[in-house]
Amino acid sequence: MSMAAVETKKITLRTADNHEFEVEEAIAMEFSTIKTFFDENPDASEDTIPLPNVTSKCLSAIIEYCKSHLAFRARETSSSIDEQVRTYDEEFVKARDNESLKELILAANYLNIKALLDMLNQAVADRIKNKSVEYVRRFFGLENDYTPEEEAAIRAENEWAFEGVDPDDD
Amino acid sequence: MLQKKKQRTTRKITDKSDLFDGVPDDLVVSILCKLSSSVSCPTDFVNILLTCKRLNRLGLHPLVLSKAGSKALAVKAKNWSDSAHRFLKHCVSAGNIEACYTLGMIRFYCLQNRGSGASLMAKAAMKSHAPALYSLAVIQFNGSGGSKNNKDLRAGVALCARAAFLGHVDALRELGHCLQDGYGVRQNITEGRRLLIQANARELASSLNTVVKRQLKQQHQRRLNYQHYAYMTGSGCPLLSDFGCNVPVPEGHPVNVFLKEWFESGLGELGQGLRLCSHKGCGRPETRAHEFRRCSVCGTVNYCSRGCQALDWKLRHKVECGPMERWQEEGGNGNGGDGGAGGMEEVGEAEDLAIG
Repeated sequence: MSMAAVETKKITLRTADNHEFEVEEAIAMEFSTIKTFFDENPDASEDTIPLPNVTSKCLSAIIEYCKSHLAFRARETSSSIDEQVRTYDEEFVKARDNESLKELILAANYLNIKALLDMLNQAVADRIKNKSVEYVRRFFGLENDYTPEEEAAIRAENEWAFEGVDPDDD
Repeated sequence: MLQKKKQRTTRKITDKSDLFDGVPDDLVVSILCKLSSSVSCPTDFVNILLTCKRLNRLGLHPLVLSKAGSKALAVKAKNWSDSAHRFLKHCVSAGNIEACYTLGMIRFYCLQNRGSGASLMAKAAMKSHAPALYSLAVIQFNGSGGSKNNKDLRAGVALCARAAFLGHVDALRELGHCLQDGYGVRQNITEGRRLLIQANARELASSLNTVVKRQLKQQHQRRLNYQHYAYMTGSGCPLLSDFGCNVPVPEGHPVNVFLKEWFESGLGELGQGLRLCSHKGCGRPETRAHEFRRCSVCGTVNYCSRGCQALDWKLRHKVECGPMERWQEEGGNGNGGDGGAGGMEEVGEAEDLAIG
């Protein structure tokens, strides 16, 4: 996008917990929600944008992410860059627990940042595959709302997907 | 500024809300879509369906089913049941192309339902599913499901060409052989040879790709000298082993594994005198007597396609083949049979000449 002149425009964002963040316009434009807002109200750029659904912790992480990805994109595309992007993404999610991943997903959804949302969704998917039913339930604190009969019926319906008949195998 | 929200240990005991509680359905569906497309076996996906009612409902959402990858649909032959069949049907109705192909193959060869199987495969083929196009080509070349008068060589070549255009290695090989032999298409030996080399190159490239991804984590070198890599995967890719390239054989489609297990374990009955394609990675059975071409030197093995014949030759048949009795290919054109074994020799030389 064409940036005029010397000063990069800054946009102020206010989070749910009343913290204000100043970000460069380029980064704010990564948030499609904000971009659409500015497309429709071009003269509102001086105002602070309220983000009632996003906490400051989330927003700072998201800003970090967008900054890094903009930097990656500015460089030449090559396989080594792809590799760096992949490593960065892995590090981004590795240390976070499920609760913060969930908040990030909700924030990315609200701000409409497609790439981040895709990446986070894949990260959650990666966490829940390769695990047994019990593990998934425990991991996410899910409550089993099946009656024993229902559960047996569902299990029988999906028996074909399991290795052998004996559930102790996996 | 730091708000301590997380008390995970107590959350499990007292707090009823789960991770997916505040997440709206459409986001959960997106997550499950990513899951279904990236799992490596059906168990990993189905486990989610068993956790709770909400995830079951969302996991069976058509969007999620439509994104399921071939590995998520990789039913094992011994686990085949009505419920497995139902699951695949749901995926087909959700518009999943892999499911169309998988169910099409299973219905055509294992359940003996030729019409439905072929139409499912055609559905996948129309969406440019390369394995489906190739499988339909094999059916046309052999006149599977019908008599030998149902063979349609030109249709086979057309289908093969489309699959080859999409980069399907077996189809490239098949088309290469057809061009060399003038089978179903006007003979063009140079073009045929070029396609055979292209097939090898593609196979090498995709093998290297998987190797590179694996190795990238361990090594940081830029230039890969593939000839120095040894793999524990056994014989390696047969057609390239002649040139000292030991790359792992590329993975076949799960449905071929299904077919092989289905017939070899006796779950499905092979009709009287019908045989399986002797290439271990294929699994296709004959649908009538003498449908497949035999090795015209020893006559003990038979193949559904030239591609399978060439692969198996290099993989194992080369060492065990020997003239015992002269068999003519029965029920088909004699050129095919002789061209087969002779073709096998030719292929070896052609590739040696071309690369060397």
